[in-house]
Amino acid sequence: MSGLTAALRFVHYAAAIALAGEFAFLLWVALPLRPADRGEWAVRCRRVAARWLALVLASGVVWFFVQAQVMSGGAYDRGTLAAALTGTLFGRVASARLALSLALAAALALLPRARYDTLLLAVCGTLAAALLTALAATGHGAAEQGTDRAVHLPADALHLLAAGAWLGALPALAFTLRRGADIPFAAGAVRRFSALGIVSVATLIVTGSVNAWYTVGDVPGLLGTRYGILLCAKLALFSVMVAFAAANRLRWTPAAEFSRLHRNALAEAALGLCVLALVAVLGITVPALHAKIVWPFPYTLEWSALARPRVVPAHPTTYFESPVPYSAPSVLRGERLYAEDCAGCHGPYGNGDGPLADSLPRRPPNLATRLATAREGDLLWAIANGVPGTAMPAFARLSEDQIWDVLNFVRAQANVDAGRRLDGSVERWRPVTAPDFTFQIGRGAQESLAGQRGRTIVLLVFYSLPQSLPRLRELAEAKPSRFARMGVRVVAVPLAGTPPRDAKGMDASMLAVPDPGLVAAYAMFTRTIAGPRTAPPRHVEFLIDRQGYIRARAIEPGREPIWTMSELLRQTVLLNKELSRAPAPRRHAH
Amino acid sequence: MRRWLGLLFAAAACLAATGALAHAYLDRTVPEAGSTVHGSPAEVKLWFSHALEPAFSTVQVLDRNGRQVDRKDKRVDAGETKLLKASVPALPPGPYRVIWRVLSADGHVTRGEFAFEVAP
Repeated sequence: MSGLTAALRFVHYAAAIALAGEFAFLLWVALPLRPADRGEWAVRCRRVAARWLALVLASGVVWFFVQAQVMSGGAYDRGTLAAALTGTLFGRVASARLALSLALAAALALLPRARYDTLLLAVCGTLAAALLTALAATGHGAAEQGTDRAVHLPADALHLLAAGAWLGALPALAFTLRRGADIPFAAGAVRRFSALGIVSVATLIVTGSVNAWYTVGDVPGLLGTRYGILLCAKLALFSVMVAFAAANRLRWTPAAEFSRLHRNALAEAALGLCVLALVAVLGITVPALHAKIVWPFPYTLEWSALARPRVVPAHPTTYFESPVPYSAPSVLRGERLYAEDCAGCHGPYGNGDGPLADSLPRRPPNLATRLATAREGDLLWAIANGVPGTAMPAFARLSEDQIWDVLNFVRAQANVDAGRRLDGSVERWRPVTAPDFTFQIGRGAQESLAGQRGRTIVLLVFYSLPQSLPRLRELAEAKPSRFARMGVRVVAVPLAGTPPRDAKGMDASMLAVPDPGLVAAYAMFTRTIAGPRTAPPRHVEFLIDRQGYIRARAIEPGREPIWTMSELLRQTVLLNKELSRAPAPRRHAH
Repeated sequence: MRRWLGLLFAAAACLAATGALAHAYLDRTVPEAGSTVHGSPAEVKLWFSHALEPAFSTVQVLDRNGRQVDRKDKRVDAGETKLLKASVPALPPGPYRVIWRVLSADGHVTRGEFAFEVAP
């Protein structure tokens, strides 16, 4: 099916471009050059345009039926076709373009009777251009929203228009330059055409760059995905086309070598068809921005704002990005795997101080540092395949998702380490990212910490009853008025068991049923700079800012008494006064 | 001047792309994939990376026996075209699978599934 779709796209794009190009040549080159011979050229243009229009119509109709089946997933009855035609953007664009085609057919039919009136020819040209540019509304830009759509969609439309004006006009140019051509006319045509070509090529480059920004994004995507490779091939062909055009302009036009110019125009057109074949395939290929980038080279360039670009070793997975969010369940899954496979050498927290570390020829690195400086895709590779020349073995039996879990655990440890000095004040900035988690208030809908991003400050309270009862009552009293004004949401989670059935003066809208594992994951974040604690905490509060960072912490029993209500509110006032920072990463990313 | 224009032509060997199509990818869900909810949710919601075509975007909730348990009222949110949802009756405790197939506004189909568990 995808082969058929690509073939139909190819035919349809080629025909629509040739149709628009025919009019571009007529209106920009032929008519201004020889107003006297207008009849001869307009007749030719009408004859050729009618053929291309027939092909546009036929391929468009077949494409619609094939696409309807692709969209519906196989069902093929009248209801499906009706839904495809009226219920989808593709269908609505197809109907609009069908109407344009019919209007163009009618205008072409009227031409002889109107004695090839210039205005009517211009109307035909406009209809052909509209027929071509409307194709943009079936592309990538159509699925975007807001500014992206407002930039991408017109860029695609212009790109198509420029392709029509240059590539589409090449057949007419070749016809002009054929053997036995009218030499003065051919010379003028080449001159006028080259102005059209320069503007078109410049437009193609600018709008193509915009499109590539939205579909490829970066160099690794260009070299490491199928989409990117196809695009590179397209660029190579495009370059050769431009080289032919440049040779025509700089060498063969001054030399008045019309047979050479003719041959080159045909070669350009043939290359253009190859470009369109690639476009047809690109259209049904996952854009590089959404595809997994498999880096093809053993080295890559690494650059930052501060340093010169460096050549560094790379792996196929170097540009992989973790699809596993940094969340409490993932951290806990990672913790189990880490304890089994990694802690022996790397130590319980990744400091490189495991019991076996001393017996190794070289001590294992500090994983928190490694994580901060290396690409996660390289770490994935190191874990899966080992590191040659060191004691690091390959963990081939771990799945990719398991390795991402392990890295999320290591990341949590780096955050825990950065948060060991957390206290009751938000004033000192510490980059401690709160792992995401889900919770429910009573039997309400499931919510998540990530869902609070940008909206509320979260006071995450871990309590045990009955010790925490007075504190929870105090929070309940403050909640309706003061917390609401500060944009603070209190989420209270029992350190053990489930929330009490009887609220006993606590606020039931604060009492959350957490996802399993939340308590265990956040227990990691009670580590302090003092040695291991003697008694487990009975009550812990974390203040999490709108960007998802843990900013302050109170532990009981601890060195300092827990926040008084006024102190807590003062901290939230400070958070509200802050300029917003970059949001904490949800995924494990740099 | 001609030479300069020629150079522009040569410099043209740069970026160019048309007709690239996107696909809608699953961004996040409620209930979250792999999570446990206490008590039955009222709805299953899926947020995607791109706008969806309501006509051909579907989601089904299946119980452990593979029976469809949602109310067969899947719909794309009128105000938020990236959100696909279906309502469910009171689900008894147990594991559930959510199977989705969506068409993004540019005519491309993606599909996938995730699981969640209802606890008493």
